[in-house]
Amino acid sequence: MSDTGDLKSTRFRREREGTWRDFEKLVARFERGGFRQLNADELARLPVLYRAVLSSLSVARAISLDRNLPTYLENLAGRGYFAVYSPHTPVRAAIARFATRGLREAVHAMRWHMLAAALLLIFGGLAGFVITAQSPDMFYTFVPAELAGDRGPASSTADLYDVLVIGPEIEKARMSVFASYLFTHNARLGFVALALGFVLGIPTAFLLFQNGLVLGAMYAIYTSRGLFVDFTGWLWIHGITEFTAIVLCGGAGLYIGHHLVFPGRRSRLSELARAGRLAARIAVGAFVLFFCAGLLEGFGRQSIIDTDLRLTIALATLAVLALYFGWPRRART
Amino acid sequence: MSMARGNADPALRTLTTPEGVPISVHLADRSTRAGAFLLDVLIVSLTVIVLFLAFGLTLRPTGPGLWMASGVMIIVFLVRSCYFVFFEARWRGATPGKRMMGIRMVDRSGQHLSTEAVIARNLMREVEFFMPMTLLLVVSFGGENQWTTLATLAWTLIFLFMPMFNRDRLRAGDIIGGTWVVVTPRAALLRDIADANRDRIRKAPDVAFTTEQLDVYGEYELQTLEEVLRMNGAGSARWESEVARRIQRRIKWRAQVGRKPTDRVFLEAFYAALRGHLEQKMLFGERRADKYHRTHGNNDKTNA
Repeated sequence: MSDTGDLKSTRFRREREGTWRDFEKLVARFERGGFRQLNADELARLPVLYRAVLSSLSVARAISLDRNLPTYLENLAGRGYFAVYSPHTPVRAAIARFATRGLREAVHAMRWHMLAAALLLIFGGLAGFVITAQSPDMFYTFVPAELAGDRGPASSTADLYDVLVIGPEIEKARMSVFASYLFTHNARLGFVALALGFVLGIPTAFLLFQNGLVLGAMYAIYTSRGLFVDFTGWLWIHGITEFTAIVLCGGAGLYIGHHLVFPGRRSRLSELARAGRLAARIAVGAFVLFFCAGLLEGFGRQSIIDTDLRLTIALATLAVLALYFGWPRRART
Repeated sequence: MSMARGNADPALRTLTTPEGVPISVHLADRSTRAGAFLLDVLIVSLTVIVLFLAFGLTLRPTGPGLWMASGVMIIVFLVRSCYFVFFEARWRGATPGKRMMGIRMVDRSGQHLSTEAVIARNLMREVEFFMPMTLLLVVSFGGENQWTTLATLAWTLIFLFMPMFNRDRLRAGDIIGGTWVVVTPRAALLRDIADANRDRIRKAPDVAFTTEQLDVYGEYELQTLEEVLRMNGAGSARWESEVARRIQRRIKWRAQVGRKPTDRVFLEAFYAALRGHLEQKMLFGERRADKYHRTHGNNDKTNA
C-alpha cells in the first residue's frame, strides 16, 4: 500500500496550488473593478498565470480522481477566460478603425442588399407617385394623417407652399426639440427595420416600400401644383442623409433575412451570428447618419428657405456620402 | 471521466478557448435571465422617470427650457437604447441586472466578446420587447382593433418565449449576436481529503486494505465517496455510517477485535487507499470507471 502522502495527485496539487491562488486573487480583484485594479506587473502576470491554470486544468482532467479539483480549476479558468478575453480595445482606436474600415467593409459585403433596399424604396416611390397622380384621393391611403398634417389633395397651392418655407421665425430652441424628436424617432424606426430582418426580412421590405409610397404620394401632390423643385429642396436637404441611413438599415435587415433563409455552407446559427455582427456595424453608422439628418432637418431646413441653397446642401451631402461609401472600395476586403 | 456516466446536466456546454482548452460553462436558467431583464428594465425606467421629473417639472415652453427638453429627449433615447450595450461591453457581458443575478453573456464560439456582438444582440431588443410593448400600450389605450392587439400579443409571446424552444436557451438577440448567457462561474478549492487527513489516517494504521478489496470499486464510487466526505451539516453522520456499513459489507472488511475505527476515519482511510490504488493503476494505463468496469485482465472474452 502506498503512503497517502506520496499520492502523485497530491504532489501535483501541492506544487501548483500557489499559482492557482495567485491567479484567483488577481481575477477576484479584476472582477470587482476591472483592469484599473491591477498594476502593470500584475497585468503582465495575468495571462501567464491564466495559461498555467489552463495547463493544470488539462492535466487535472486527465489524472485527477478528486472531483473537486477539476471543477475548481474549470471555474477558475472560466473566470480567468472572462477576464483575459474581455473587450478592451481602446475606445479611440476602435472608433477610428470602425470609421475608416469597419463600416465600409460591412456596406461592401451587403452591397446587393443595399441596392435591393434602395430599389424597394424607389419602386415604392414610383408606385406612390403614379397612383396618386391618377387618383389624388389615394394620398390619404398612402400618407398617415400625422405625417400629412394639413397637406393633401384638397389643400390650396398657397398652403402647400407655406409648409415648405415655414421656419425662420421659429426660435432656435424650438428647432432643437424638433431636431431631437426627428433623430430619436427615425433612428428607432431604422433599428426596427434592421431588426425585422430576423423575420425573414419581409417586414423590412414592406417598410421600405411603404416609405417609398409616402414619398411618391407627396411628390405627386406637389408636382401637380408646379412645386416640384421647391419640394425637392425641402425634402432632400436632409433626405439624402436620412434615406441613406434608411437604405443602410433596410439593406442590413434584408441581409439578415437572406442569410437566415439561405445560410450557405455554414450552419444557420453561425451564419446568422456573422450577419448580425456585420449588421451591428451598419446600425452604428446609421445612428450617426440619423443624427446628422436630424440636425439638417431640424435646424438646416428651418433656417434656410432658399431652394437653391437647400439643393446645394443636398448635393454637398450626396458628395460626402458618395466619397465615403463609394470610393476606395476594392483596397481592403 | 465519470462525467460521462448517467444523466449529464442538460445545461452544461463546452466552450473552447482560443488556446484550444475546452471549458465547461453552465447555461443560465431562463427564469434567472427573466429576473435579470426585469431588474434592468426597472433600472432603465426609473432613470427615465427621474430624468423626466427632474427636468420636466422645471421646463418652460420657451428658450433654454426647450433646449433642455431636447437634451432630455436625446438622453432618454440614449439611456434606453445604449444601456444594455454600454454595460455589456464595459462590464464584460453583464448588465447590472445580470450581475445581481450572477449571470453573464459570452461569445458562443469562445472568442473575444466583440462590441459588434453586443450591439447586434441588443438591437433585437427593440423588436423583441420595446416595440411590441409600445404597440400594446397604444393599442390597449386607443382600443383600435382587437386583431391588432392579438397580433401584437402573439408577436411578443413568440419572441418572449423563444428561449423555451431551443436547447441553448437562445433568444433572438443571442442568435443574431452569436452569444449565450451563462452562469458566472464560482467554485472554491476544497481541501484534498487524502492530503488533509493524512495524519489522522496514519494514526489509524489498523485500517488497511488488500488489493482485492480495493479492486472492487472504480472512479465513480471514489468520487461518490468524496461527495459523502465533503458533506457537512445535519444528517451527514447518518450518511457516513450507512456508506461505511455498505462498503465494509461489500469488500468483506472486518476491524481487528477491540480496535474498531469510527465511520469517518474508516471512510477517509478507504478513500485515501482507493485513490492511491486507482492512481497507481492509472500509471500503467489502466482506468477503472466504476465497479461494473471490466479490465483486460478479467475479461477474456473481449480480448479473445
